[in-house]
Amino acid sequence: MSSALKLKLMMALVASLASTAVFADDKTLVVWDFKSSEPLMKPYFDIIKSTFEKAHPGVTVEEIAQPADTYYTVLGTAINAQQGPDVVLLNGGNLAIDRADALVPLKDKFADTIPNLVGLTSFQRTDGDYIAMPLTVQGSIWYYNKDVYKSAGLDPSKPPQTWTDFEAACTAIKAKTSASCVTFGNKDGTDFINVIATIAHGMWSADTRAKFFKHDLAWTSDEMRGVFAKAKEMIDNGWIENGVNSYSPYTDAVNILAGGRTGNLLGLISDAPNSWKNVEDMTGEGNVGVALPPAVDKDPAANPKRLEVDGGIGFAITKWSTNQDLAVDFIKTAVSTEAAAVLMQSAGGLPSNTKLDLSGLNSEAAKQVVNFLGCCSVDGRIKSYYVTAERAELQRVGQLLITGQMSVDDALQSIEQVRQKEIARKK
Amino acid sequence: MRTLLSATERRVMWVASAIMMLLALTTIYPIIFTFITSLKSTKDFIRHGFSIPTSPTLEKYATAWSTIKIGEYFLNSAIVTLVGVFLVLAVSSLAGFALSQLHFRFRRAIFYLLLTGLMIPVQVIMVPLFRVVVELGLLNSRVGLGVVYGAFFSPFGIYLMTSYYSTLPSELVEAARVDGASLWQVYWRVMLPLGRPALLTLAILTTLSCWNDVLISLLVLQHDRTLMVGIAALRGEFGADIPLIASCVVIGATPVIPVYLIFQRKILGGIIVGSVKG
Amino acid sequence: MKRESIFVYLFVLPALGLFVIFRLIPLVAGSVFSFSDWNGIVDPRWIGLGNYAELLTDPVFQATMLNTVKVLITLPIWVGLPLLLAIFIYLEVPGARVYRAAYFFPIVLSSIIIGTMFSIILRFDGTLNQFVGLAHIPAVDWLGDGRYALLAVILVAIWAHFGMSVLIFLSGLTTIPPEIIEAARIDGANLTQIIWRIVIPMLRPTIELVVVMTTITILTSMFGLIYVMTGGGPGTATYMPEFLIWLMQGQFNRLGYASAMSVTLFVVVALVGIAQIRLMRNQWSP
Repeated sequence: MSSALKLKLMMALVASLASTAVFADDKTLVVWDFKSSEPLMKPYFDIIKSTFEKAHPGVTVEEIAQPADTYYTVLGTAINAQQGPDVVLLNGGNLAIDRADALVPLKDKFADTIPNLVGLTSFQRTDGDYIAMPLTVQGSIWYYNKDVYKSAGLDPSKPPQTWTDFEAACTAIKAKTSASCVTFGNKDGTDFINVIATIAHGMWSADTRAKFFKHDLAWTSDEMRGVFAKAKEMIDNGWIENGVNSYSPYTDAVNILAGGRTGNLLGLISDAPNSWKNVEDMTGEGNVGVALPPAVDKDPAANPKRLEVDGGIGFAITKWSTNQDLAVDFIKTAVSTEAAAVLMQSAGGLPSNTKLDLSGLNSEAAKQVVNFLGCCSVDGRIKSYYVTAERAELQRVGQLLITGQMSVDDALQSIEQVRQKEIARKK
Repeated sequence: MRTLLSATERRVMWVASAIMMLLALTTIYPIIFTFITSLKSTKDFIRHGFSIPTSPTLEKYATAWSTIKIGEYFLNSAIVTLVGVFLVLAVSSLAGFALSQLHFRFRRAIFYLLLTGLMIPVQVIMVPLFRVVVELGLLNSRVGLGVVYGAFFSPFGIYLMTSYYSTLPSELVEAARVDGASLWQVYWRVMLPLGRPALLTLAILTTLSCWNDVLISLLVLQHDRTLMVGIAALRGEFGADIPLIASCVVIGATPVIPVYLIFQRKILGGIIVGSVKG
Repeated sequence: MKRESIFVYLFVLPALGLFVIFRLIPLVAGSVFSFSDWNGIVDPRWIGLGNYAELLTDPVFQATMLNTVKVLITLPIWVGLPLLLAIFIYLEVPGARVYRAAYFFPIVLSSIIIGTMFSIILRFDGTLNQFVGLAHIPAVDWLGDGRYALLAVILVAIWAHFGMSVLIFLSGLTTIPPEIIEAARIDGANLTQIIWRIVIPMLRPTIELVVVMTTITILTSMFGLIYVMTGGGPGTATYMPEFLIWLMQGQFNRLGYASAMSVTLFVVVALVGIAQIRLMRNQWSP
């Protein structure tokens, strides 16, 4: 082949490659998420896409699953570039609200849908408008392995209600079985921040809680110290599984619970790999118990509402999107009862749509979760109100606290320093 | 050398050899372990992490292909690598020829200026680089990523080609030009063919750089993933399925292994060209 | 010397063009951004040296710099180990060819692949602990314990890069004329003396080159390993500058602050880079 011909072929190749980078000309709605590659969640995303596309011929939904642990980094680059997705999935709380500047306010556009949804507070801006519509209702709850409880001589139908009960259970499990009492199945500190939040909720008065929501509570305050003191007990008494290994947000922990190597796991109530559906699948139905976070220094009967819930994940519309009307329809499809039913069945998700009948969830653990949702839930999760910089610091010190390399005082000091810095910066 | 050693020294050599053997084992072990792990089912791994699989299976590779769509990632990596290597070879050989064989004003200054590119690694310009990529419309473009690779891997290539070409006698170029060849013809007909050994080395090194990159890829491509980014993302989505991760690692490492095996000697030659007075 | 026509500049134009667009302009722009407080969404707010002042008191940045110093302290191993290995291979230790091939293997693997393999091997219930357990040493959480995490990352990084240094030393060794060694032999020098008094001094330029290249590797090539193996944790135990910059710009959306860090990193890398260019020039220049 002559060199001129080679050169021409080369250039043709480059040109054809360049054209593969150009997107199709029909309308495309680009949706980013960090969940659609999870096997349990895929059917939910599929049904939204197919329902929407059927109702809007000529429009294709391009669903892009970003890696969960770099999602917000990649999203940051999209926001920076003011281009990319039309619709983005977000976690409730500060992770969403921090990015409010890049998102379209939705109160007016969803006026008809909003009355049927719960979990909106975690997507609410300071001025009261909503920046995303919740798809799920989420909260933290304890799952326990009944076999492990039995081996420890504990009654699997009566899980701990107070911190003292919890202590007794852990002592028993530690003494009579080779299992650990609890496991934090990951290394980046995410489980730790949830544990802190549930202890805090079990401990604090309604006033303290409100104070925290307003970002008025210092990390070095007595109330916060009390929470960390309890966490320290867990660590010092050796209740925590050793060498927590993986970075994958949840799955190591579930494996450990399923294998009977631990007694308790702080999981989620909806759709995540550490929520009841996957936990039951892995551990065996009938072997999984569900318990409310224990009341700490309080009477459990007088304080039944120990399950904090708010919007788990939600869809938002980006300000630069040129398909905002289509995006609205897409999100409405996502929160419809039809889609919510799929969410429930395939992923064990608790939908935000109140019109959906939850009686379809009939596994043992599911029934308990739904029961707690009805009787004992309160709106707003402490963990959603962690300021981003504080949350990052909390994750970091959590890792060090667990390995015993940092004292509680130092930990609280360093988070408080971050908090003060952020306050000064915002001025 | 060996015949020059005394008896004690020969013993020392054997001890050294034993230690070096252990070290060599550590360089081979991880990939072998990963390969063996990729042949296990998840349950098998949880129960017997470190023994030979009792019933080896290729199911993880099947999952990698179908669920994780590792084929797509592979293709994306191939495209960006192709573009990147082509660019680096072109840019480096063109500049290398001029800087080594031709004489013009600012020649030395330009050479050192281009070398200073080595002092500006990606990490230092991440934020503004991203803006440049956006402004140029290269965001999410695989060809665009190849162009960025071209920019980042050329300084070393320019150094390599310039130093290599300088070993060619200048009479060659002069003779061709006396015969009436234009600069381009000299480049095309003389420098490129003669430059083959160095170009091959450069191609190999650049292929490795592009194939193995993750940082630049994370910046430029938001939809499509290259292979390395895909593997890095696994721990988030499939973190507990170790055999699956292992299978993806094997798929990611496989194209590089034949490169290593066949061209080991060539790379050795290339380093000599680059780092020792030619 | 005959001067060329303008046409010649076309040959260096692509190289210059790429350099200006993708390195020079971003470098200048980054320096400008470093004086702002910017989240990428709203317009930047100019705060002069505010970011740099914050860097001085930022515990995370300090921890990152401390980690960098800790890693740089291990530089003698990064250089000394390959040097010794290369010398023995040069002296034709039994199995030299095989070892040379084996040591080079990790170089072709990407840091993601290496990091992923080792994050499996270094698990608390992983191979290394099993191995170590055979000697009745208690298991260590290599990647999760703040006391060991950085060490683990350093060891894996050395594993990943030492082969390249071995090769560079080997090529440097070929410039030593064998006659000198023979002559020393005849004079009665033993192995240690030959290595210490002849080989190493003659390798000085190569050693300098490897020192510089390794320093640049440490400052700029550990991102993949950290990203996959530890995510910077536990705490800030394995934060290195490029990882922190990545976090700042992505997760925290603090582009101005990230730029200030980048400028700082650039100054450090530039100093090392100037040394590298000087060395390369000593080896060869146009």
